[in-house]
Amino acid sequence: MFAFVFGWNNSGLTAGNLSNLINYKLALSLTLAGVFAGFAIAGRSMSSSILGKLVSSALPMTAIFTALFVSVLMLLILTLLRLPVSLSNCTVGAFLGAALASNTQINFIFLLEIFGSWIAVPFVCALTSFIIYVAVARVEKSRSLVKVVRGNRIVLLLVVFFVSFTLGANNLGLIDSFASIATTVPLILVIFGIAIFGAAAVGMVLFGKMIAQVVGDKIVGLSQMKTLAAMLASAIVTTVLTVFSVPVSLTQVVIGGMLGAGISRRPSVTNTREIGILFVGWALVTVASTGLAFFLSLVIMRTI
Amino acid sequence: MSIRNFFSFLGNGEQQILDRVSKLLDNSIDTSRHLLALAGYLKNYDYDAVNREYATIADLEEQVAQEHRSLVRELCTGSFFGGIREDLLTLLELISNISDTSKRAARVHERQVPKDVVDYLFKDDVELFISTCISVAELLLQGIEALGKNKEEVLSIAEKVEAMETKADTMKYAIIQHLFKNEINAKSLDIVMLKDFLETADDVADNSENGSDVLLILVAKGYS
Repeated sequence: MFAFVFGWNNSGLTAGNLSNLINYKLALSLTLAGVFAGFAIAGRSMSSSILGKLVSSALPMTAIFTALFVSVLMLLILTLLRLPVSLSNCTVGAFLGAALASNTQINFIFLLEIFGSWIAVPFVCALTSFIIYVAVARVEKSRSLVKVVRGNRIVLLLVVFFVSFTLGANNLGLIDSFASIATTVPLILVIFGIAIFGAAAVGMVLFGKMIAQVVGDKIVGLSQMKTLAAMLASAIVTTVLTVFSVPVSLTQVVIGGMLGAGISRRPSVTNTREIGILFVGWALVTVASTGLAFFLSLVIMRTI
Repeated sequence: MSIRNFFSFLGNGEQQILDRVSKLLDNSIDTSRHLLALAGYLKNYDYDAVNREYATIADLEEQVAQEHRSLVRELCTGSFFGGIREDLLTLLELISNISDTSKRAARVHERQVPKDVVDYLFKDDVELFISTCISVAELLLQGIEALGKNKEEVLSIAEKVEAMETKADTMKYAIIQHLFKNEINAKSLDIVMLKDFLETADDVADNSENGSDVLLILVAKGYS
């Protein structure tokens, strides 16, 4: 369920940006391939980022399931509202609330690292995107329009695969890390992994297009070069965070990159209202997940 | 999707579209060249030849219209050029209009204008005027081909299109001014009809100049 809602919500971040250069079906196929490759090859890097690194692995089972339930619930509600929401925001907030309710040890230093990355990452990605855009514009200005379009398409295809790869490694890897709570049998873990990817894929295929429209049309109007810069910056930043096992919000990274590229040259078209809603929403989601998980955990623990 | 189609998608789709756009404009310009020939026959009172040229123009215009529809369909259903696809559709419409206006101008054949009125019209160099309008369209064709080279060349040609179109306008106003003097006391209907002929022929240059404006938009968006 978690993976399904994740797929529903997040495919728009990659497929939405390609919708002008290649058709949506091909964009979706590329996203699926990238997510699978990232999950299969590098998903293990997130295996203990929440349980073990953020909160102690001694977290009671009831608290774990409460946190997972709250994460899925928050992700589902916001997806139904057609908002590109972060799985990391929901999950970190929920596990924090569950840990507080059950008096489990929390690694506040790592928590500060996570919060710090969430705040800093959009700006870092915006700056990276700006630099990449300036470099790309300099290279392409003496080329023919046909070569510019062709080059942008090829690079964008590779970049979207790369971003999807990091999405699979970071976010799906995070979801998969919870499977090891139930079992350590390798075969069952593999089956869990296949089921997780399958569920995410179904979510992307069935419902991802509406999110793609929000990202591609409602938030930022970007040219091909700016899209390229935004996505490449997102891929670089997400990779760095994945290497350090930091649960990254790809939503925040991509939107930061898009904003950086979007304002790199005047005139720029940005829906500031939608951006404002998103930024406030991210903060509120984390607080709401924490509060809901805390409350539910207390109720369940007192009931049992 | 076959391997060939895959690599075609990655690489040559846009170039093929541009080549077809160039061919479409070339065919449109052909209708204008036949309009010039029609004007020549009109000057020599060869009304049979005028009618034949009109029939040729009508056929060419229909071919241009069909190719235009085909290109529009391909652009609308494919994924070419990303965010500048809509501007390309506008350019195609303007190119189609060039052949359409040539056909409308050629309708001068429907009314056999008296020879003295024809002589009065051709006292000014109407053929040079139509030729100038065709030159504007030919410059637009160079501009479209320059999209496959670099943006500086496109910008340079767009400036030349504008200058040539202004020259065509100046020539048109001079001819119309002389026509309205009506020193031979011709029927008002004949004078107005010939004036319409000149205005419609000038639309070849106007549509070409509008097409060059679209080229500027393509450059602005494509390199932004």
